[in-house]
Amino acid sequence: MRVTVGIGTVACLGVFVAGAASLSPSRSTSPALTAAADATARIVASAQALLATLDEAGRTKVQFPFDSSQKARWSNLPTGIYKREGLRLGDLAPAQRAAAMALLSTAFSQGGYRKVAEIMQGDEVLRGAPGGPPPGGAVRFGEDEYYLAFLGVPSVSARWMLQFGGHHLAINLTLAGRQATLAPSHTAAQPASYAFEGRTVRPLGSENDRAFALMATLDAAQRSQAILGYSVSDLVLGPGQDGRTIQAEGLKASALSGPQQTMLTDLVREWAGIANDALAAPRMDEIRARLPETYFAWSGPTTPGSASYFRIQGPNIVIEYAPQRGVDHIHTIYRDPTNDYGAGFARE
Amino acid sequence: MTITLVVSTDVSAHRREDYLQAARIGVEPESVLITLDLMPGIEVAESFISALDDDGDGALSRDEQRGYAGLVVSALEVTIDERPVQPRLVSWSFPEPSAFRRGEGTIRLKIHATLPRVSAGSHRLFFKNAHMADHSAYLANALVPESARVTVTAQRRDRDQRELTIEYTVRADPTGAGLAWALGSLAAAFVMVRSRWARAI
Repeated sequence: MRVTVGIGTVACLGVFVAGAASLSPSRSTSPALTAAADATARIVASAQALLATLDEAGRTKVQFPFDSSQKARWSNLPTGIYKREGLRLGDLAPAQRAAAMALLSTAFSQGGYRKVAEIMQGDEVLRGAPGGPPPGGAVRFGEDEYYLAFLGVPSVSARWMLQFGGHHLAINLTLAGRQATLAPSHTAAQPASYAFEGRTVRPLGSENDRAFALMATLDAAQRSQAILGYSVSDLVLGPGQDGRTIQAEGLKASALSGPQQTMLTDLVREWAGIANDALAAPRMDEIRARLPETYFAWSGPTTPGSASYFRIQGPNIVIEYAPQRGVDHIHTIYRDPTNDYGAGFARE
Repeated sequence: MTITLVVSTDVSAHRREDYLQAARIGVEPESVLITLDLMPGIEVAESFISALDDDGDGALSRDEQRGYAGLVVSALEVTIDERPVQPRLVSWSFPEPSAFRRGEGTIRLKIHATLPRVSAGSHRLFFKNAHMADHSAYLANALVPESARVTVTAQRRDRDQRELTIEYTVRADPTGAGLAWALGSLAAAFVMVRSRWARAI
């Protein structure tokens, strides 16, 4: 069989190649594109499955316009101090709640889903802790007090957002076809360590341990760059600080060895990797591409087990990890100065 | 107005008994804009509200807000290259007092200072916040400048972040506005001298 390739075909191929070349490396490979598109399709299907379990009132409650004030309505604070909108897990029937959790397990990676579940479980522990809020009071903790919302209509091509959060948690997953971002998102933990079914659970333990491990590898010159000479008592770019970019400080990743850069990348993955693996992979490629321009900064003791603040900041990432007056209460933030809420996505 | 915060005995792991003051500072060629977020903890909320609520009606009137905001600004010190500049309150927003009691109340002040004309090259901006030093935790950070002419080269702080020195460079104005200003000044000086000569003759 003879294959005839016309001038038009060649021209089209040329345009395609030129377009693909302008994308990031991962986006130029077809399997990665396909995997990301498939992941979005599965998330949309799960979202539609949840919607199918809801009545009209429930669908109204969960759905918001994409460009609404709901986008920035997230906080570290618990119910009773901060008012959230959307579907409250505690108000859902068992089948609806199962559909909501199935959606989260589709949207998040295995590790990301576990992290989210452990943060919620930690809030349940806090609810029953001695000295906790009195039952029936305005301030409420626990796994029922988490809210789910869609901003924009779930779609395999148009931009929309899955928002899930409550006390110590705000996941803002914006999807646009094969593109996705979690920025901005907030993870936190109190207690930072608790016992459950005979095992110790540390929702943000890997973030803590990887950061201390990286610090342990720094030589004296690197440490003198990385360690800030002042205390940092809270997140600088936490909830309510959308659209701000602070000047980066600390040790530039270009001054790290190859293995140290890998450790830094693995640390970043604790946040970026909350998303479904197929969606997180291209994001990690973006972060790796700008890693030499990314800074790592540290405030506090370097002995593991200490309450220390750290920040990772580059052209397309800001991560902060801020202990709140001790090791048992942690706040973190994850941002992308170029793409919070998917602002940088071209509409597909 | 004197502010004294009284801390209740009910202390939890949350930020409750101190007063977080977070400054984010944008340096531009001819001005500096400071956004100051003030967050009193739950446990000091009542005494904080009482101190601000002069007429005791339970609300914070525009005058009461302005009075407190002015007090905060008066406790700020800003200098450029060792020369003091005057911070000026531009706008402010206060939440309802109930928000302070819930621990989510943030006062936001926008403060502007016009900088004296500086030459192209290296400069140093110093910021100090001395408001309520006994009960406060501080954050102070330089923002990435909006002007491409300004590059922040270093930040130095004291241990508590009450003081921040921002070292930065300013590139020459490519539009020639600075040159026009200099030529205008020269022209004005020439006219003044010439008119004096004319009177002398």
